[in-house]
Amino acid sequence: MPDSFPPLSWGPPPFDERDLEALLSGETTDTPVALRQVADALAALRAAPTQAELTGEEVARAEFRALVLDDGARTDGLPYAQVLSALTLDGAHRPPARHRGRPVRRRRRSFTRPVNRRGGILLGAAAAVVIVAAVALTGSLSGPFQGLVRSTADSTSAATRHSPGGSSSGRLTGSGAAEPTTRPTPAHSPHASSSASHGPARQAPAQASECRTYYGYFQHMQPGAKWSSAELDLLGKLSKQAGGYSHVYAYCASYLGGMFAHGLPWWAYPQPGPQQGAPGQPGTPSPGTSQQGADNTGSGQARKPALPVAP
Amino acid sequence: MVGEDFPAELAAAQGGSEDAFAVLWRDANPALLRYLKVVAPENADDIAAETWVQVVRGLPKFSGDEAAWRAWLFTTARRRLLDQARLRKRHPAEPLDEIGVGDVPRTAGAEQIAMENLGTEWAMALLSQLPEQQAEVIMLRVVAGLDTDVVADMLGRSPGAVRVAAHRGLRKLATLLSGAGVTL
Repeated sequence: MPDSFPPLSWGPPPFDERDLEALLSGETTDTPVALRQVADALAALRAAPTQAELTGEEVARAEFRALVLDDGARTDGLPYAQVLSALTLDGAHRPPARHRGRPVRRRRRSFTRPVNRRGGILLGAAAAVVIVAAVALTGSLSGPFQGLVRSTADSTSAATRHSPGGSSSGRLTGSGAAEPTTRPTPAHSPHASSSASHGPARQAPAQASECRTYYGYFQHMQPGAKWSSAELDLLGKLSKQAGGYSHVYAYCASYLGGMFAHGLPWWAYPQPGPQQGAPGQPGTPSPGTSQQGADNTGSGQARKPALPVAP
Repeated sequence: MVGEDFPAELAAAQGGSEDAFAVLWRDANPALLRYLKVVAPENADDIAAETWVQVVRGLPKFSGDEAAWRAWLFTTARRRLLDQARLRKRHPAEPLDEIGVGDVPRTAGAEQIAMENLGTEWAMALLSQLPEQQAEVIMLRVVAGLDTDVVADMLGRSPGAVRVAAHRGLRKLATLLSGAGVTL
């Protein structure tokens, strides 16, 4: 018979490594007594979200919208970072060039900037004519706008929107890109207007989306394309919001970002009243130089030109 | 966890769907905040916001299941955390080379632990009593839902070292709770 009894601490340990792993994995069955308080603490860590932990949702949504729109996003299910290079929309939905009419030009002139800017605008107009002519002469008009879009995406993403983080969110913090200071609309930048305090902030993202959708049609215009009812409906909606067909571009310019870094094609300027017809027909480009300036949001590119009326 | 809907929600978010992104955000942000409030209580909200910006930027390029998504999210958060620590020099440049026996609790006083059940806040305060490495490993395992191998990759340690740190942390929690006389 032993002289002393074994220590009371002898015996199997209250828990082992398997019990601890089970706690970490969330298994709550057969938890040793010694670990039940720990299990309760871990369960509390896994508890449902508190209201405080979800209060930042609107900010996160706004951030997402801004970054998505800044990247030329569309909300049609295509990856937004690859949209501009992967679009393969068929020609059936390409709207024709349309809208020709002197009244439009007169109305566009209402947005004309002060006289002292005409010199720069004319220079820009000349540059745009050269670009369009070069595109036409090189025979690259057919899938041409996809290439234009790709180059636009590449140039804007690489050159004008590059930030250390490799993202386009520099726009949200006042990107160093040469954003024009004068616009036909009060918006200073599409994303400032959509994310900050300008006007109804919640409407701005919807407007931006509609504008980009509408002008996205022009990026892949194919010969023979006709207006679809959806495009006409969208144009009608935008014209109501903008106060007329001739104001649609001015209305949308600040939301287009880098979609048309080299300038809106002359046949894409909206004219009064939608017209069916073959694309490529000359529309009446706008001498309204203010819209052109507004197109350069965040792109750092030269201002869009005042294009001459197509012959 | 989003569960079975995760692939669809991810695809929609990558396509620019704000609502789908919100689903992912609501699912992951509470866990992210809890993790950051334990490992970086001073800057948790800032780091979380920066993390989401980085995640949104990289979202179109992400591919993987929900476990990979959470691993990526928390890895991004940890990188932001380390960047902040380097900038602010508040966290000691404690090498993660060894998770050894010399771990010292970051704060003193088990008796300071709240005696009543404060739910999640109480649990996070309890975890804050642990040495930083142990707390972080437990948070990544429990709150982030990451397995040992993934946590080991994140921390640059072996799975064995991660397992040891987690178990030591749990044992210490048991000691803290029994010593504080917490009744639940």
